[in-house]
Amino acid sequence: MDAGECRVELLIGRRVADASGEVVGRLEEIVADYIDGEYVVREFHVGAYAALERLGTGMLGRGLLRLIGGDRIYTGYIVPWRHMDLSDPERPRVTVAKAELPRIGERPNDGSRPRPAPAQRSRPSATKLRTGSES
Amino acid sequence: MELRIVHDLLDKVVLDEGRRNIGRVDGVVLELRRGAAPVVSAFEIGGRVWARRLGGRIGRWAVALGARWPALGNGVTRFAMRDVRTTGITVSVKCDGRPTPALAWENWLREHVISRIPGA
Repeated sequence: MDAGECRVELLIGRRVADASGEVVGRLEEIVADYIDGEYVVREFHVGAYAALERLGTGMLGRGLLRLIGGDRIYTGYIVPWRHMDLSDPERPRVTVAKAELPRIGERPNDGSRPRPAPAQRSRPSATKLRTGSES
Repeated sequence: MELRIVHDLLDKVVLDEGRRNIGRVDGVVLELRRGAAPVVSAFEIGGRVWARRLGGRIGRWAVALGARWPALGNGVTRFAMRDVRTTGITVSVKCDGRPTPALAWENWLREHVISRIPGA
């Protein structure tokens, strides 16, 4: 990926093609992780299912899609950042074949991954309390 | 912590450190790095950024209108992602929004219109 700047608002909705020129879908979502004080992009979500996910209907939307249209419209792909070529933001391109991309929903919790809950403090055990009071 | 840029950031209301509404996230900037994952470096607020999203003739028309009437097409305010406190329903930033161009249109309206209304 070449260095430079890219505008997300102009990138969203663009058709993404794979290495052979076949259309994978439209770019719908970009997922980043907070690492060492920076939001580092992890993956790009492409396709009709990603659009539903963007509207916030993760698992429910997936279920409804399966119900009404099955595999014909149930398409959504996860493109890892290293496979996305943004050198021409008007024509984003995936550097591998469409068949090699994982589908959204293949892995458990993909597409509707909950945020990690804050770590809960464990309550001091009775033995510890007793020891504390003895000392 | 995970950030979904379109779902959690784009078009969300931005609140400054005084919980003042200073606009919506009109644009997000990705910094591309050679051989490394892109980084979400900043987001922008401004009529010009929003107008660019319209695209085509309408977009060009909106940009031209903003250039002709500066109060409408106010400057672009860029906030670094390190200044973002929380994202979700709203985006809170650790900055004072008053001196930024984000509130220029509201200030102009207050000074020239609202303040002249009797009882305002």
